[in-house]
Amino acid sequence: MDTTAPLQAPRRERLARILLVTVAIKCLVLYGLWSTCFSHPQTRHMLLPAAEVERHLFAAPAAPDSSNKK
Amino acid sequence: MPPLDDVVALSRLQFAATALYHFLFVPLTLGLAWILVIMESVYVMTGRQIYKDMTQFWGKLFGINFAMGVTTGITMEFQFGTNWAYYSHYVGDIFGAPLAIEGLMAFFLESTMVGLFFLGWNRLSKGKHLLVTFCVALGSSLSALWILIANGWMNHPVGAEFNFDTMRMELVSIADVIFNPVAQVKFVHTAAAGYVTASMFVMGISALYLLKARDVQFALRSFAIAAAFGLASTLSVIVLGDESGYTAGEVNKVKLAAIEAAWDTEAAPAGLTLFGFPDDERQVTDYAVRIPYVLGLIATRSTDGQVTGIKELKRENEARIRKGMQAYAALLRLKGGDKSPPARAAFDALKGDLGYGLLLKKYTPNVTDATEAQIKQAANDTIPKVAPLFWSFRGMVFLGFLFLFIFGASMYYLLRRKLAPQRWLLKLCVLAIPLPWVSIELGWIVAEYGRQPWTIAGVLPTHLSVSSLSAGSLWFSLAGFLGFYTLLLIVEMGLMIKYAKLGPASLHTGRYHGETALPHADDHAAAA
Repeated sequence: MDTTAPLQAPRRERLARILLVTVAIKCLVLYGLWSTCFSHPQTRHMLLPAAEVERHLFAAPAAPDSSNKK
Repeated sequence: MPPLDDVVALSRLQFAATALYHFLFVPLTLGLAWILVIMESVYVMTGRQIYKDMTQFWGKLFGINFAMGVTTGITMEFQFGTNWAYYSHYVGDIFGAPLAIEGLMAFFLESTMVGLFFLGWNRLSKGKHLLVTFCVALGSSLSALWILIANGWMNHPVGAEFNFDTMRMELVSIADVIFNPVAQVKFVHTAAAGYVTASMFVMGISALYLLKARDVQFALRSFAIAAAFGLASTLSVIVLGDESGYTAGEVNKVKLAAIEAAWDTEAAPAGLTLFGFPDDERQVTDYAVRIPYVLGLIATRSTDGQVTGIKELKRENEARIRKGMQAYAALLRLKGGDKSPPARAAFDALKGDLGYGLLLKKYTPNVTDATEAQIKQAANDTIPKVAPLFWSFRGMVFLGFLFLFIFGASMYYLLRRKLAPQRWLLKLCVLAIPLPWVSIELGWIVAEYGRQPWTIAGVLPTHLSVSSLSAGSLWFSLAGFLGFYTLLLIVEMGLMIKYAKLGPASLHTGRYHGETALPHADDHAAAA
């Protein structure tokens, strides 16, 4: 059993505080990202007007996509 | 690297990056929760303090991971509506229920119980606290179940039908969606992989204590529980991985053929390519090392079932594209106002292949006027690139068998009470800590890249699923996610390393390494 100099063990409350602060900051950053980039989605409640889908499927020009070129 | 202005590639990159980051946190939560249940159950049954200390210490690391990981998955739901509008519309009727239930599981059951786990030690009886820990584990597993039901449906869309009035897939049978064989296999395979991750994590950190001869009783007991749980979980992962191969052989033949670089349909039972260098251009595998019969037996569970090769699948898909062109024409007729019974019947007979017709939208806006060359191009697109799948799959399987060896050897020496002298094994356990994460990420690459060119297999091509966004906004949000998630990962790693180094001394019980000058303090803890 190693009985060398004691490590400085932070108190339990300190970890809880770190985690709470991190979660709070995380929620703020996520809110910031959402309000900047995702707060005006093209589709709300996973539903688009059928006419818009029809335009996309029937009239839209071919979309460029190089992601799956063989 | 995707082209700078390719909206489809950028949307895929963003979703893949957030999903892969999110899944760095998930498996540890999934597995560690059940290890806590085992440790606390032993505490409740024996009343020995050391098992309570084990539950509290590993629970502390669980708490760090949970706090860092919680809500990292919600960013994928942000992306559905913003980056994947048409996909979102197409699947909304089916995805709504599983995602809502997952939200309830995650936030109301899992998060509430995690709070009670930490705050309830002095407020609840032993039995009630164990029940809370069990609910944490159950909640995290159920949460994963609903997500994987949604994901399974993308790979094998059952229990839904296309409605030409609303232009979306609509739920026909929720039971078919829930009991989708792809989703069920995927869930148990993924959950078991999470258990392996947590077992390796506990074993690796315990091995570190054993190598340093500190907190020996604590480490040995933690190591033993993790090794037993890990061995059982690894065997489950391998067996369920095999089941997954069988399911893929039945419902997702393209993915299976690409994973195995099976270019040609062989006489049954097909051989397995253990190693080689697949060449997509020439459609051959150079320097292939093959084991006869094995692939056929795994994929068909028979000696006479064939594994269809890529070249034949491409021909089959070309035929489906031609039928898809007719389906597209029939749909145009319906949307043009002719909703007569013959027009409906014509569409109903062909609608199963509409998705294949939509593959042509990449090359011609009208689909029905596609040239032979365009049809051939679209048929080529139905096969994902083989080399990334081939290598990712083999990497995952190799690591799976390495874990089996580590857990097996650990159990062997534990049972013979000769673990401590096996320093090579203890060092291997420490080095192996990150490997389950590598294996899991490879598994997700196989699962999701192998589904291309579809977001919903056979129904909706990826290139038609994305929103009308600018590349600039995608780059901006991608950079935001990557920066934020990397920061979270750094904080998590920092806290994990700090508390793993402190060990059970971080509980401030006065019984562990570094807290007291009493000799054999650890043994007192063990005896308590």
